[in-house]
Amino acid sequence: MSKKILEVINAEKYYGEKGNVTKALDDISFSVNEGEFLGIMGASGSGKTTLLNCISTIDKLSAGKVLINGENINGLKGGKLDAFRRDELGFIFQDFNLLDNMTAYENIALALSIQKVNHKEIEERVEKIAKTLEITEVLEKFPYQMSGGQKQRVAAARAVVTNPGLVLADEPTGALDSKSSKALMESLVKLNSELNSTILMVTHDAFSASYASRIIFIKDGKLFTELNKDPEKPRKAFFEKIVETSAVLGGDANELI
Amino acid sequence: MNSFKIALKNIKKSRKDYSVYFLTLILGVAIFYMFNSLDGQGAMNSISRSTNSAIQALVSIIEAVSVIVAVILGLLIVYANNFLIKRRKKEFGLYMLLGMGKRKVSKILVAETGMVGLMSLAVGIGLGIFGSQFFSIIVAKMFDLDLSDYRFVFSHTALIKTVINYVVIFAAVLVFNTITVSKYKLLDLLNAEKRQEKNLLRNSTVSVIVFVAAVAFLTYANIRVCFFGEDLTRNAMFTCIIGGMVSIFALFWSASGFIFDVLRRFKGFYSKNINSFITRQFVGNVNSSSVSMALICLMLFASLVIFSSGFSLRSFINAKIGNGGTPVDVTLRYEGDSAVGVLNDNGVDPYDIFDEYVELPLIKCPASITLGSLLGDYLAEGKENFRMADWDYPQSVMSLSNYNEIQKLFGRKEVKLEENEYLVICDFQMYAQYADKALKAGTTVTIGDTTLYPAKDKCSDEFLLMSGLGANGTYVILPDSVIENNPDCFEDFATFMAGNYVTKDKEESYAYDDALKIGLGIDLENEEASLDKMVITKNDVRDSGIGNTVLVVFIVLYIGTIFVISSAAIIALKILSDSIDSTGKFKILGRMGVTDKMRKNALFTQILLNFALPFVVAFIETVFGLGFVRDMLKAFGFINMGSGITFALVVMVIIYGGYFVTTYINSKRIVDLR
Repeated sequence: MSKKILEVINAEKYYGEKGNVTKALDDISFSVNEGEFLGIMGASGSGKTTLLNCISTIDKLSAGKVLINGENINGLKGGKLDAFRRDELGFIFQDFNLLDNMTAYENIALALSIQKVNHKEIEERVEKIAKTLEITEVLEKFPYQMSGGQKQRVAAARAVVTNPGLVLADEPTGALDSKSSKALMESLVKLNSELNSTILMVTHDAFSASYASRIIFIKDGKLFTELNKDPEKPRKAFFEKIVETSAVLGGDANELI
Repeated sequence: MNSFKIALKNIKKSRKDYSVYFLTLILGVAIFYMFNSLDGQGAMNSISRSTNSAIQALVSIIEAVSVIVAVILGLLIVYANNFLIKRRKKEFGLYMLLGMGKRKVSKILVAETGMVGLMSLAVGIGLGIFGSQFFSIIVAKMFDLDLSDYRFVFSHTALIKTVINYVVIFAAVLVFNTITVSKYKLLDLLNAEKRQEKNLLRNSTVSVIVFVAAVAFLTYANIRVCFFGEDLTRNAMFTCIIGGMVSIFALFWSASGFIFDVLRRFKGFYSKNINSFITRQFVGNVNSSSVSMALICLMLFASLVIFSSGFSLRSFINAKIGNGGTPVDVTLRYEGDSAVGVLNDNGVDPYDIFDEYVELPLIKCPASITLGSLLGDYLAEGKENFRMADWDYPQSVMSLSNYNEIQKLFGRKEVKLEENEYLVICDFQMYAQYADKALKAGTTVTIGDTTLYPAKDKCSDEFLLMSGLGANGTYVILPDSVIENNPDCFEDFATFMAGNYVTKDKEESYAYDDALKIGLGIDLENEEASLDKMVITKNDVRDSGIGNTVLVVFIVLYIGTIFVISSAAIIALKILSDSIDSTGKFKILGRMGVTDKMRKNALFTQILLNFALPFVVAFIETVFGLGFVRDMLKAFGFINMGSGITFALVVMVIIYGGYFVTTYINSKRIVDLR
């Protein structure tokens, strides 16, 4: 059994005052192994974004634990929290979140320079990751000079260049057209298989989700079900299974996409 | 909810956003009131005894300057207001999305602007009233004035003037706001925050070339103006000034590209921590505000120069009206046989007034000693600069023994001359600079058969008639024998009289001044009309000296302060508006694990650099510029500028620093760092 990178144990998150409590997360437990590509699916309001925020230290659980590399992140504060985010997590967001006054190269390099990597090594590592993600030709460009797909791959490069324990992707294809989405998902798979990055992706898009190796479904804050990809079968089969499950999950096809 | 209530809520909610706006409005109102209320102040009463004209001049100059100040403040307020609207585009978009008409949005804005204006006007005037009392005390201290008649003064005219000015400015702001709102498109308002920055840096090669060229020209102009300023022709001067201004604009235009190009080459520095981010932010700021930065630099330069020269002039005049410049109570020049005789005829006995006095003849020699002849070979040069002068005007001559009597009374050293020497007395440097050259060249004076040579190679920096500004006439001192041996050459011309009063009491001395003037037939209401009778008393010199200094110092303070406030406010507003645009960036940095401390540092460095850049350039220019000012003022025998610069820097640092701190605190809040 490979090492557990992330463990979520009995996670609960409440909103609101006493007497009028909404449970955004209701006793959710799961774990992610090293080198795994996990997808989390659920309709809007199912709690998947809350879950991601709690894992990414942006929000805190009301009850339960999140362990990353065996460390309880709820106990982290101040400098330790910053250091944890810097060293253990990589983020990819729906709206890219690139610094738009810096070039692609500088955006990626910044993640390394705040880790105090020396500039020669920064150069090598940025070039290497750029090659893997096929963004070498846009390295000297600014975000506004790039396509959405390129921007998201730059963001992905920034997220993984520091070799974080866990890459968190929040609807990474949300702002991309279908062609760019496909290219990005292929890039993520490449990162996952070639660099052995552990990726946790939240999405409500069945097509994107089909690139993951395992998917957990959340409904109304609870863990609904879990799907494993059969490595022997083509991705299309997995996609169909996801669509099926989603239909059961929502009970309403219109809600799915 | 009516628009008034919404407006009130909005102000409460965003009072911190308003802080720089408030600060600027309040300071503007307060300063405007303070200077316009000057004529009623206690300190002024003490100065104004016999120098009402100086105060009148001050008031009318301040009125004129106030018009310019009002325009500057008006523009500044429109600019600041624009910033506030930008900050709230999304909010307006939301109002409109909810079905509120543009008219209603305008109404809310009108109510807000009106209330903010009213509040700052009230606070500003309050501050101005107390500030002006404080100011009075400082002025009194500055010029050793008697504060016994000090009282709390409230100036109605200043209040009315201030209110009218601000009502006009705010009316302009209202019109401007309404136009702005009517032009808004809902989509742009809602997307205001999402818009992507397209802040392309200028081409780096071009930037480097322009930057180097600008620095090279500035260095050249600075050195020429500072060290060789006296030798510059009018055209060269013009080239230096206009070229210098163009260079400043070029410098700021190219600064972003140049700085970036240089810093990027230091890879160790650039890829350390978040230096690349700070550099990009700073360079982006400079890039997008190069024109305003250049203007700010010029404004700071102007205020530094006028502050320093104004205050140096103050110490200079204070020194001139001290004992060195006023050795006796009264000096007078009377074109007639005897001033004493006229006084006696008019019933004023000099023995009643004077403890000691001398009356000595001034003679002239139109054939040999004129304004032009003393310049010798340098007459042509002098003519070029004083086109209006009457070069055949005979200069006053006095015998050596008579002059030494004056020297004794004035407490100065006795003068010795050889039989074939002459001495030129002149403390008016505009003329003396040519006379000095002529004396150095050994220009001779021929009286009858006698040829006289210069006793000194320059003019003696002394005077007969007292004067606050060192602008006396020229006198030629000749050996007694020369005058005795050539009676045909000389004509009687006037008499010179100097003396000390019997009284030491100030009030009484004023009465003696008047008695003396009336006794000589001078019209007290219009003293300047009688050039043939010039009475200059110690009181006159001191009062007009103080009057002139106060005039200079106040106007300098007024303009300088407004310039510094405007500059600081423009930078502050620009930074705050950039901070709003940078909120997302700081959030991203946080998510990447950049610590709060590091982000605060980044923000601090960025803001500091923005404030420092125009200031440093202005300061360097000032150092060279003052070199030139010093050369110009040397004409009046004036050297020391140290205290002026120190004072200017202190004023600058207080105002500018205040804005810097306010900006930093607010930016921190805007980008959500606490």
